[in-house]
Amino acid sequence: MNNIIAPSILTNISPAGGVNNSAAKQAAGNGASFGELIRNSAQSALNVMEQSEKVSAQAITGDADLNDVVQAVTAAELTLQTTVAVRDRMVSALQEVLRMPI
Amino acid sequence: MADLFTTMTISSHGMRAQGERIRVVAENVANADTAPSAPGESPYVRQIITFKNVMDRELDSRVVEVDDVEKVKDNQFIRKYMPDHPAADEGGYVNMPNVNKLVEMMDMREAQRSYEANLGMVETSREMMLRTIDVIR
Repeated sequence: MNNIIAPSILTNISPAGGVNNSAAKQAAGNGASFGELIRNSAQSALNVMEQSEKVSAQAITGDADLNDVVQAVTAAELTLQTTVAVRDRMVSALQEVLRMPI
Repeated sequence: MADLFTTMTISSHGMRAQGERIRVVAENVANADTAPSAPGESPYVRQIITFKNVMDRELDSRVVEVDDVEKVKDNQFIRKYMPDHPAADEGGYVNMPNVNKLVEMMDMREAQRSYEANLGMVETSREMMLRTIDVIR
């Protein structure tokens, strides 16, 4: 059976609202780690997507079960949704800052 | 969220197990009329599937897996009077498989419903996750 990797982007975000990522802890200090955080999330999202594609391809050749495909595709879907939602939030927060009258 | 992914994997194991169960039922139904080819030989013997509870260390939870598919123990063939059959004994009787189609149909329905129950778990956990993401949108 293919073990579907749970999207780490979902597990890295704790219920308390804090992002328990070392990059986020540095965020208070400098501005570069915000980009790092985004890059990490995008990378883990990409990994889940790749896994989903791999399992789908295996299903076509008969190596993977239908269950695995459903699971992988669902994981990919949720990761994409989370990534998009978080990105939208981040961008709107940034725009909020840019619009701030000085 | 990780728990909900675990739920999906556990239910996926259940679906796979029920899938194998229905395969065994299909074998039984398909071979319900498989008579022996010569006198004294044994016809098809009904098979039953057994499940077991396995600890999945990677998931850190217990999942269901197929234990074994084996022939039934207390095997009583159905004696059918068919004097023209190549496998008929001196009295004209042939040993036919001990498959009761009604029992097999019940087993099939049960497997179907269990599969659907597991599918419901997958659907619900997916919806829960999607609804959670909706909060930040």
